[in-house]
This record gives sequence, C-alpha cells and structure tokens, in this order.
Amino acid sequence: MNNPPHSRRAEMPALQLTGSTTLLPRMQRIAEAYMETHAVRIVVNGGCGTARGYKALLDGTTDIAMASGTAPDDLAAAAAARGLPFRATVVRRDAIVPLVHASNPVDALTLLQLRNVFTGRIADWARLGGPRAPIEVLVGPPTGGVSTSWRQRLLGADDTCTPLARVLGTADRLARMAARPFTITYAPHMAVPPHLKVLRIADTAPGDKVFAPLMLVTLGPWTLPAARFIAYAAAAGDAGDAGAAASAEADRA
Amino acid sequence: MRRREACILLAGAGTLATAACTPGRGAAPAEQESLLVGGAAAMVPLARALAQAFVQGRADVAVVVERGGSLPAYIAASRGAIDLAAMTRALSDTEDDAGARQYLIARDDIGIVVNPNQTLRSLTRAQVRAAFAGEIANWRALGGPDAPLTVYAHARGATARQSAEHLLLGGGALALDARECADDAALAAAVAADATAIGYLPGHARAAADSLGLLAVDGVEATRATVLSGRYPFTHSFHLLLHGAPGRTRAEFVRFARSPAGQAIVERLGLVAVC
Repeated sequence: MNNPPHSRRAEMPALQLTGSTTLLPRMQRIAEAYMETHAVRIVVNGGCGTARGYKALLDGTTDIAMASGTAPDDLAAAAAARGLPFRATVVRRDAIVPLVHASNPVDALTLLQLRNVFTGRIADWARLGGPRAPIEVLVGPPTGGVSTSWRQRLLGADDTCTPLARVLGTADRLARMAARPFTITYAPHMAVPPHLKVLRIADTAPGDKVFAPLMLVTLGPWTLPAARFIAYAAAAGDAGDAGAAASAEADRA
Repeated sequence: MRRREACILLAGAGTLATAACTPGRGAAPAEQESLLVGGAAAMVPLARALAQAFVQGRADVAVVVERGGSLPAYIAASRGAIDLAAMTRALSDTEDDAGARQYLIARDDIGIVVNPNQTLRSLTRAQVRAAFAGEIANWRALGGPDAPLTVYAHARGATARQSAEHLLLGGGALALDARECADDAALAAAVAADATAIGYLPGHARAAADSLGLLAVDGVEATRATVLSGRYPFTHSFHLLLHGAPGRTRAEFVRFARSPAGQAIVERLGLVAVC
C-alpha cells in the first residue's frame, strides 16, 4: 500500500470527500482499496455530518459529499438558485433500526407505538409490556441524514420528537446506552454493538423498512475521476461490512 | 521576500490584540496589499513556504504569517482581523457557520515509534494514550515483554510536542518524566538506542529514521493510503480557513495552496499532498 501504481503526485488527481459520519468508515476502506488499483488520491475528511457535507459542496471546499439523507431545504434551495442542483448517487441503502438495551424484555413494537415513544406520548415501558420504568429517548442531531430519514418516516411532517429527548451523535448514543437499560434510540443497522438489541417493527414487511440512503453527492456535472470513483463505490457498496461496523463503534459520532 | 514587518498577537481564546510593529525598511508601494495569516504553530512552516512562493515576483502583495493557535485564529478570521486562519483541526459544528469555508491543504501523521528490537507491533489508541500520559511503567502492561517503558518526547513548548499532546492525548499532558529531545533527529536517535523506548515522530520526519519500529494503532498502520483516507487514528490535517466575503487576494492564496505548485511545496516539506 506504500507503493501506489504511480507515485508522482502531479500525475494523480485528488478527490476530497466529507460529510456523513455514518458513511465515513465505509468510504475510508473503499478509498484505500480504490487507491491500490487507481492512480488517484482519495482524501477523506473527518465526518462532520450530512448537512455540513452539502454545505462543503456549496462552499467549494470538497469535491464529493457523503450523505445519509437529503439536503436541508435551505442548502437545496441555494444549490437550485445557482442552477447547479446536487447530483446524488445511492451507494447503499442501510436499514435504520430501533435499538434498546439487550436486557430489555420488549422485542417488538408497532410503528404507531414507536411514533408515540419518540414523540413522548408513551413515556413508560410498562405501557409497552415492559418493566415500570420511564423511557429515555436518545436521538441524533436534527440535521443528520439518519435522523432526518427516521423522523420523516416515523413522525411525518406533523409530529416532533419529545423535547425530553437527549441529542447525541451515533457513537455517543450507543455508548451511553451501555449503562442505561431503559433507553431507546435508532441507528444504521451496521453500527449495532452487542450490548444493544434491535427491536422488530411488528407491522412492517421486510422490504418496507426505514432506510437511510447512503449517497455520494456532487454539485453540478461530474468530473471524470469523480464519476469513476462514485461508480466504484456504488459497486462496492455492499462489501466489507464487518470491518466498517467495527470501526464505526470505535469512532466518535 | 519583501514584506512589512508586522506581528499579530493572538492571545488566548476570545481575546485578540493586533499590533502592527511597522518601521518599514524599504517602504512598501502605496497600493501593496498585505495578507495576514494567523494560525496553529504546526502550520507556520507550511504557511510561510507557501507565502514565500506566492509573493514571488509580485510587488503588489505581502504576506505575513504569525503563529497563534487554531481557535484564536478562527476567531480573528471570523471577525475580519486576519485574512486567513491556518488550522490543524476541522471546524466544530458551530464554527462551520454560513461565512466559514475551510479548505484541507495538507496531511501529516504522528507515528508511534519504538526501538527496532521491540517485539510489540501494535497498540490501541487507549494504550497509546496511557503510555504517553505516564500511566504505564512496564511494557508487559501493553502485552509486550517484561521491561520498563521509557517515554521520549520533544522539549516542553516545542511545536511537535504540542501536536503530539493534541493528537495522542486529546489535549492532555505528556508524562512528567518523559525524556526530552532537542529535535526529531535526536528523538529518533534516542529511541534507536534504547530498547525500552516509546516515542512519536511526525511522518515528515520519519523518512530519515526508517530503522525505527513503527507501531500500528487500532490495527491500522500509518501509510500514505491510511493517512489519505484518514483511517490512521493520528492523522494530522492542515487547513486554511476563509471567513466572510472571499476577497480577491486571499482567495488567490487559497487557490495557490491547492494548486499543483502549492501542493509541490507541501510535498517538499515532507507532508502529504491532498489536492
């Protein structure tokens, strides 16, 4: 890996990526694999979240944004106003799953029950067949791609999360839940650590899950190196999950 | 390089004093524009080298580079007190406001080096932190041989030491009893001569020290690929921050830093080109 096919920098274009923390560990591995066989430098910036990835595209500070959700309205409008809409390629669709502590006796909830939990209308596990204990709701940053997808699907346009919900990044939520048996949150399926349990959604068919579209996004037309890398990443999207999940746990949100 | 002598004092977070100490030798042309770049000490050599090349053959621009620190520089740039902030960290969510545009212009890494006879090949981030914080007295506690552990570092106040404390220890302090070395070469020599040694060397200084053992961290070796991907945990990123209206000359400076000519300077300093 120390000896890429062409070592002279000047001959090798560089592509910079930034954005979604969900996509970060996966793209780091894909970037390394790609550089072994292609004379391109793929430079992955630390994850700063989906919204900031879109902002970086508009600012011209990145070539490709990593996104786990659609662009915030103001940024999409800014792109449209320039006549350069965001161009997104889905490299993977990752299920977003509700998570509880592994010791929680509740195994499945309906979509309506989940909605009531996240809005705060149901605030005690006893109402869901669990122990008598208040439900502690953890959510991700509101502009995060995964949170946006979860909110759109579960709450729709009319409801909002309970104001009692604690806002933390993915890794921080999962870490906090290790010591707190009565918490509930959601996360991309690939990031689930062993101390947590995936809740089954009782009334959805397997093909009807809540998905976060994991995307690589450019502003305006593709350059050739970007087009090639994005095509490669889309083809590699389903490979190498175990390693990516392991490093997702180790990284901060 | 012709430039007005000026110094910017970027005192602690939140407070800022700018003092121009002028007495100009060779009065600058009236229309000369002065670009003020303030930032992290670790970026000063790169910023100076870029500035020197940028003003080559241009009588209309002078660039002044002063060290301050990433946060004071961010604050100064966001208030318009300086033209560009040179930062060794990414912006926080609140810092990345509508006016902020932060460009990655170079990478480096901090490698964990040991004596060539050391049998241990890998540590976790937590073990690295504990070892350099002085919490580990014996290599056995890290899964290594039963032998004392000796930490080597740069002298107090040295930029390389600050970078190590920032990256390896999350801002914490290095072991009080760390043996102090005058520079990278002295540190490399000391680690090469002591079987119990653990030390750190930035990537740009390791070419001259390739006999040392280099430990993987969290199973990831510091290679060009893992530094570009950012998967190596102690990857050091160098950024330029523009805040507010682009301004012609300072935007030109950023473009130059990201151009092939600017990136050639990055490589000349032993850093990793990223544009």
